[in-house]
Amino acid sequence: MDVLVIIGIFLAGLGLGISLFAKGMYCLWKKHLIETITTSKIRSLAMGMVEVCGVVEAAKGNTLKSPLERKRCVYYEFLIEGYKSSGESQRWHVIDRFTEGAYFFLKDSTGAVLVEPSGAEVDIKPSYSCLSGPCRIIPDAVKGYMARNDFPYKQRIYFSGELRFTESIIQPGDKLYILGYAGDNPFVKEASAKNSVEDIMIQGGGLGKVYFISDKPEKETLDKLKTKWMGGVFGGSALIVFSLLAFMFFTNAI
Amino acid sequence: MALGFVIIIAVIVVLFIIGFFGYFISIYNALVRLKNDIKKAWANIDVLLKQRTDELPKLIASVKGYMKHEKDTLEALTKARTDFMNAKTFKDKAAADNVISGALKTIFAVAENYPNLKANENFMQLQGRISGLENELADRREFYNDSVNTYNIRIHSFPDMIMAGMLKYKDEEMFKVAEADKQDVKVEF
Repeated sequence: MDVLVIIGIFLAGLGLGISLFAKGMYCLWKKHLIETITTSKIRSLAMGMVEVCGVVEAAKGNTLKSPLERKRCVYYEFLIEGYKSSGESQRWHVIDRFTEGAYFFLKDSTGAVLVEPSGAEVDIKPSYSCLSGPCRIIPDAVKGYMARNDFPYKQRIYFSGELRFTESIIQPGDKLYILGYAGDNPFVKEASAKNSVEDIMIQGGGLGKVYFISDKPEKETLDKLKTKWMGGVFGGSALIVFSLLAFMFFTNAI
Repeated sequence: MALGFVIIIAVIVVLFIIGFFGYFISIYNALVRLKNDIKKAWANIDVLLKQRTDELPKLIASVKGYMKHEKDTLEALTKARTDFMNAKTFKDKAAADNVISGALKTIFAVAENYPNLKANENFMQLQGRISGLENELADRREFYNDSVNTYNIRIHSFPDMIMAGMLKYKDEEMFKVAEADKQDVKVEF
């Protein structure tokens, strides 16, 4: 095998291994962060890093329409993926991703707090997904989306590969878990709030800039992070060692 | 060949060391954060206690004209307020807070017997403000106790206990409610 190809494969394996390892360590740090922050009641929120659970309530007149299903929501993520097959490997890859969020309130049994979702890492279940391509009937939701927007992948839908459309939304009434920074609410004049929580808004920018919104319970998120950190650290380490072994084998250093 | 194996073993050792230290640094940071979160949770209670303490003279002034038969309760409240302001330790502040909470509970319950007082707008405003602070205090006490509980569990769990032992971290005390506060207030009509 060509030496340059061997070096290329070795460097790619090494790079991927190191990045997996680093991601695993980040997941470990995030898991410990979530574990150590206690869930607050909204009424008595204090400034700083906070963890809250509650139900979404739209701020007056501040809702969005989801791009595909046209549902009323406060946040959406719209994903367009293409099917790629090269040789034996076939997989979906992201072509385009759009997100948009509106200010909303998170309410628990004690009160409500304003949330600014932009910049958050959002982990929510997809609410709608469909496939479209030359041999398929185009779903009405996709047709409607194409009619309303300047859709750059029309040619692809009619003449070439398959596309997958996925929409994930946060709607009023959804239960959420939020880990973020409780800071000043810019819409409330200083000292004019009837209670302290009125002057607070949850936003990004806290410890290590962690801002996380999920529709899953805390335990499920922690289990997911545990799998990720272990997979990252052990998988990354194995990949680094394997790349090194392969490099040495092909260069006859072993 | 030997050099190749040495390099592989060296890489495995380096990865193990990074992983091991990374794990313990993460535990160290988590314990330090928990310890500081407890201090912050207490400071957040202290802010509300101070706000409530500032409202007490106004409350006493507005009720003393009406509640002539509740002199003992009002005196106990004044004394508890002074004790709170002089308290330096967590224990002393918590004890004074318990007395104040108990006395306030009694005053608001007894106020039902005084229709003129109930009609006093100033008193109603103060009652609303203090009750709001009491509710927030109850949440923050619960938050404080949750933080202490998480910390106490972690410093006794493996492997965190190794790091906690090295840092000489000891159990923190929870915010306890006085036995008297668990009793219902007796209101005599």
